[in-house]
Amino acid sequence: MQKIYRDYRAIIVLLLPALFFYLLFCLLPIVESFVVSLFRWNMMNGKTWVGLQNYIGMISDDVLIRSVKNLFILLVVNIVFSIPIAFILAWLLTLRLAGTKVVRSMMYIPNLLSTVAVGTLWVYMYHPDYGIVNQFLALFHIEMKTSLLANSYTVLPAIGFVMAWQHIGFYILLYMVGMQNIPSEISDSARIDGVNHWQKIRYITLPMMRPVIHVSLLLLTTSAFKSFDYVFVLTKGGPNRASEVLSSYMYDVGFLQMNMGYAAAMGFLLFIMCFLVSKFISMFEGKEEIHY
Amino acid sequence: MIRIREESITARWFQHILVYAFLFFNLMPIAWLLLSSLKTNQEFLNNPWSLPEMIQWGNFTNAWIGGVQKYFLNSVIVVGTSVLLTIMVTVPAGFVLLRMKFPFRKTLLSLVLIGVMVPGHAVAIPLFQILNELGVRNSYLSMILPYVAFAVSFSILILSARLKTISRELEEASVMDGCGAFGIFFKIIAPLLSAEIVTVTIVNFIWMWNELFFAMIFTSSEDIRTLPFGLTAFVGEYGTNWTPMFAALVISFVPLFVLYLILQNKIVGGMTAGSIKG
Repeated sequence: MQKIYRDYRAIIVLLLPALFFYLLFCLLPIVESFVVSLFRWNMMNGKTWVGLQNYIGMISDDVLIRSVKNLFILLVVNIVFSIPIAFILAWLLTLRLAGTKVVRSMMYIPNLLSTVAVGTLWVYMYHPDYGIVNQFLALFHIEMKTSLLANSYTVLPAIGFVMAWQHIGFYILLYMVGMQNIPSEISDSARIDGVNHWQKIRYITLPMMRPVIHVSLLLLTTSAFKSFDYVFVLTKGGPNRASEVLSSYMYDVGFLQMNMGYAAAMGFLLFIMCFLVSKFISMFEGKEEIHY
Repeated sequence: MIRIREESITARWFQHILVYAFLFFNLMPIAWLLLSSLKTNQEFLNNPWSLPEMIQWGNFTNAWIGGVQKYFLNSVIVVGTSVLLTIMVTVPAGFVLLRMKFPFRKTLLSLVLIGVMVPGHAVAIPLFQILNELGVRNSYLSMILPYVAFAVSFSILILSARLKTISRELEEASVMDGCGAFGIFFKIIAPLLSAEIVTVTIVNFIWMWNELFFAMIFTSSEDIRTLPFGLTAFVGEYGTNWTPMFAALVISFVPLFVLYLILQNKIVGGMTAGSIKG
């Protein structure tokens, strides 16, 4: 029996195709992006070795610093718009509700849209003359003369809001699964003890939901690091680079200005940051094992 | 049976209003897109929020003939091949990584799962270089190869949740019947994974169908553009001609919507369970 599990021919034949794709087009490029980042290179002529110059240059590049900052702002905005609303909605949906099934299946639909469609749609929603957003804000006596996407103070929340709008249905469903997985004995015994709704949420649901909230934080983080598409279709980094994120700036420097070495350095930075932030979030997860 | 506490009528009303207001807000932009794609452009410009006076199917034929047809076919080719290849490579690999025994198996598995955290944008430049050197840039392969590569980690993650739970006894019984490692995989493990295979197929189909970035930087000729990239160009070209453009966006959305209607339980269940167990 043990011999069969060590059949190296089978191991190699079954494993190699996946490794071919993964190593060559996913892992190798990470290593390669570090290598390229040590050169100055415009794609046409040969590469010039510059050592860590591309990384040192980042410190004095205002646009780069701003685009890293924007990335984190977008992450925070996304979390603030997504998690509390998703939590409340998930809770409302686990209580008795007419038409739960329909609501549940319809909520996921925005997740299916392509970013191009989302972008076109929301550029219009934010349109100063025709869009509904400014008219809605006017109800609260907030008079905006331009699109929220054209104002450097509101552009990031506006983009984050669109990202949250598209994905919130998924997080609601995720939280609902989490809430339904809470053993019913716990809520039953709490009910017998006469615990009210607020106490139940505070002392049972929230602590029991911690692992699921961690998962959602991880997913929100990786999706914020992949925010290029939204920025590209909504603002192209504007106005005046106010919504530039690391990946959109990298696209600009690499594929429009042809400064490949520097762009590769940004790509590598993006990978390292995504990796560290994810590790940072999972670190807390391990320590907060739930016992019951 | 525990008596369910009677909610006050007001609380129940409040709950329903909140949920349905949210749903309205959530779906309103999509409904608006759909309605607008059925109007004439003039009608749309005069009153973007009215219902269509007469349904304009012409927008759809215009969009289809004006380029969407070609992009659609390209998308089907690229995404179809990528999804199929992903299943063909990740299911056997998942089996080996979770069920077979060899040195550094755990290390290799965690190396494979790191991929979940790699943002595709981060490796765009070296990937561009690699595809260029292989001579496949600006071809279907320049999308297919990275798509499969970036699907490997997440697919194995979803498959692994189920692979961990299959009991060894099933495998042992088949060995008695004379199966080798290949036999175990094809006769026992692969059939047991059918639900997860459906999930992986759909999840990959959705993101690949909508993928923009790789398509945009690895291809340049208009003939091989897939829908998302093709439509970005379309949006620019049609500039002020909004309603055929909306029709094009609706067409690109239809396949996913139909897929969702048929398989919604699998999609939602698979996505949520996959992320929690992973």
